[in-house]
Amino acid sequence: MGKPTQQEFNNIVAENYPRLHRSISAYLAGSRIDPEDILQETFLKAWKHIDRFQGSSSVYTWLYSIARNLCIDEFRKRKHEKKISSIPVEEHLLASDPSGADDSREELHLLKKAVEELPELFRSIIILKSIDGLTYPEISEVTGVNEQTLKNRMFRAKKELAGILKKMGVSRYEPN
Amino acid sequence: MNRTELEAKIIDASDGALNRNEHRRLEEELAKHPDLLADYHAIMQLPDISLAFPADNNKIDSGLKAVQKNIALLATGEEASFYDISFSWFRKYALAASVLIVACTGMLSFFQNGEDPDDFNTILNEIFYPEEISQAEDYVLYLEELSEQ
Repeated sequence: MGKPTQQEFNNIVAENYPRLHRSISAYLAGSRIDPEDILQETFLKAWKHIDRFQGSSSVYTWLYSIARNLCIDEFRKRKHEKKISSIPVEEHLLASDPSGADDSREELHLLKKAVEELPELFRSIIILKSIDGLTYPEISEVTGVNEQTLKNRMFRAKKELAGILKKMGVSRYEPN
Repeated sequence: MNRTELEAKIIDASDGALNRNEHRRLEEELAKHPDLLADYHAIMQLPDISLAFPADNNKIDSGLKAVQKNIALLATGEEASFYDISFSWFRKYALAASVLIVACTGMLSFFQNGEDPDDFNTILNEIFYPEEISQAEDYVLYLEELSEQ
């Protein structure tokens, strides 16, 4: 791909930023890393190296790969930091609400915390598939892992997610 | 089906990729593996994970504008650096270019005026040893006069 004009690149940014922001925010949930910082660096890097983009994948998966690699670099630098999402299980046991509205909000809150607790390998694939809506071939492009392995990894990720939700007191998730 | 294939099929089911008949066949297979059947039920009961991570439109808007502004600054910076490079090249080599021009002009005058070597030497002297008022020389003469007094 030849270097686009600034206006063309602005269009690429406008098309991809919202989706990438949501995905990277989910990926970084529970960490101290600012998704906006990661995305700034992602797009600046993409602008500088746009001529290296060969078009064999979509622009979105290329940008996501850059962002994910930047996140992984930041995780490595901060590996000694305690995760701020590590909350003891008993804090999640709350009184029930007769209307059910709070239950549903609380369940989503617990679901978010449970995803944050997943190891990076599992969190990554769940976010790419469930939040980003990428297909397994597209996830394979981003991660470099074949589709069969991705599905098995997704199985283990969802199984672990159900286990974490059970520990948090959400009784209907009862893995083996 | 082996366990690996069954796990992949469970994920296909949770992704909504199986029709009713395929679901039924999967559950028949899973009945032979009670542990996998329990995992299947737990995974199928997971809610839509995307609901836990809604988009933050305010942050998206502000972040998007910041990125576009920085790209604009970067693009301007790239044009300025080309200007700086060409201007510094000119400054670096201008002195050498001017000396070369003067030397060539002198040589040209020599060839136009004749073959007298004295003319050539004069021209060279004028280029490399121009007449100038030397204050050092005057000061030495002044000191000599003082010493004679």
